[in-house]
Amino acid sequence: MSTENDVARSLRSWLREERHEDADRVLDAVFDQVPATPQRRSLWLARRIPIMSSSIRIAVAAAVVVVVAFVGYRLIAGPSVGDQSPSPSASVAPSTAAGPNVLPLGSDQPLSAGTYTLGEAFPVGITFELPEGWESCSSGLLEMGACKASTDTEPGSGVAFLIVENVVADPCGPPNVLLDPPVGPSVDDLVAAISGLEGYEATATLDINVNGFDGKQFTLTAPDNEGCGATWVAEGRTNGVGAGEINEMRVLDVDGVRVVITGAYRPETSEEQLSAIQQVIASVQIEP
Amino acid sequence: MDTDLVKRAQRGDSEAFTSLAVGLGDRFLAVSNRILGDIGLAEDATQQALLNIWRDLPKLRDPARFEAWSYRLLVRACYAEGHRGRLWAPNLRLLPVDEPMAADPTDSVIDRDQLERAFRRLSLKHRLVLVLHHYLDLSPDEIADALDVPVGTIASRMHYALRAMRLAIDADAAPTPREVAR
Repeated sequence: MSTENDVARSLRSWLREERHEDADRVLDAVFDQVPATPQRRSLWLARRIPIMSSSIRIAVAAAVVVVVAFVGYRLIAGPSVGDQSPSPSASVAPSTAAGPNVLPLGSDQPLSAGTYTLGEAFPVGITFELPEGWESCSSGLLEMGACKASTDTEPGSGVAFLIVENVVADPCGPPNVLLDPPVGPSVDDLVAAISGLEGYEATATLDINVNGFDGKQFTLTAPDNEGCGATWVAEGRTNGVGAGEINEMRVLDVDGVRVVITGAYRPETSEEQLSAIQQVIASVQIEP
Repeated sequence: MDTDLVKRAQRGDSEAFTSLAVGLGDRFLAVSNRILGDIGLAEDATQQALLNIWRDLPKLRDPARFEAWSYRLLVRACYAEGHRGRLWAPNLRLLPVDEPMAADPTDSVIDRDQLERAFRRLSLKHRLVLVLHHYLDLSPDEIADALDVPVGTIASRMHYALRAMRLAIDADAAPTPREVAR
């Protein structure tokens, strides 16, 4: 008859026997795969999985050239009253009576509280109010976002504005395999495709109207599975609604342009931050 | 663990990740081999865990917690491989019995093969806590942190795992009816 102490002692001895495990082969396989394995940010807003096709890349590059030329012209012509071109080290300043700030491209740029617009390249005129403490998380001209960075006590969260082109075939599968044929052009087509993503939970849709534009609203929750994350494609890139994330989705038809507005957060996001996200979304004003 | 390396790897520095992975590789393989009892499954679990670490490093909020977080990903990978292995091979393969054995005074108390059979009969979650505690020397608090469960759950699992092993070993050692009849 043995005791549990006997078992623990023997187990410890047995587990510590030399078994000649050598991970070299495993490490080689891992290092081979790392270059093709994109890292995931805490929110899909922050980093994208690049699968941009060459035609889209050319189109986006052309759009960037137009924007750069426009900015260059503005610089040469001199800033207008209220022009708030952000510098890399400074916050985007609060809006003035002359007009809202343009939400900058890129990530991690601090944004002061105020009124923001998505700028000329976004096909729909959108303005919204941001409270203090947010930062930019826009990874493309058609993927604009403002985020609250994660802290030790609060996960990252944010609000984004996108023109979604298509949806992945399997959110837990390869990110570059998309629905074929692609998702249809209507709000209902996109809502059905996103709601139907396998493994994701979507609430029933609500009919909404924002500034006279009809749309649908629902909540999408990603499975808490690290292998899932790719959901839809905007501007040629696949975005991931990361494991366990929740997105309050609004899909609107703005005179034929399908716009997605989403508030992204996690289950552990505080009530205070949730309220801030909802206030940002509620402040959205749309002009075609 | 060098938190600077972790921070660099979080920003996408693959050389920093290489250093981290080299430091983890053998230990991960040893842990997963002991949990899964199959070197093939253990290699797959280690590979998946390391890739998941690379992929999800930017989500790690506190680089100082890298080690506990990395064990959590290894454990998840072991669960995944364990379930896959169970689908493919209902009878878990036993580890080779001709491994070199260290001289151990407790060998006379419990037969090594009985010990191994009893361990293999445990559920995956019971094997996990025993390996993390008795092989890696993680405290119940550290295991709770790595597995993201309450420390009381860990204490309970360790208790029931050892008790299950003892009962299995005692049952294994008991004479069969035929042996009694002789």
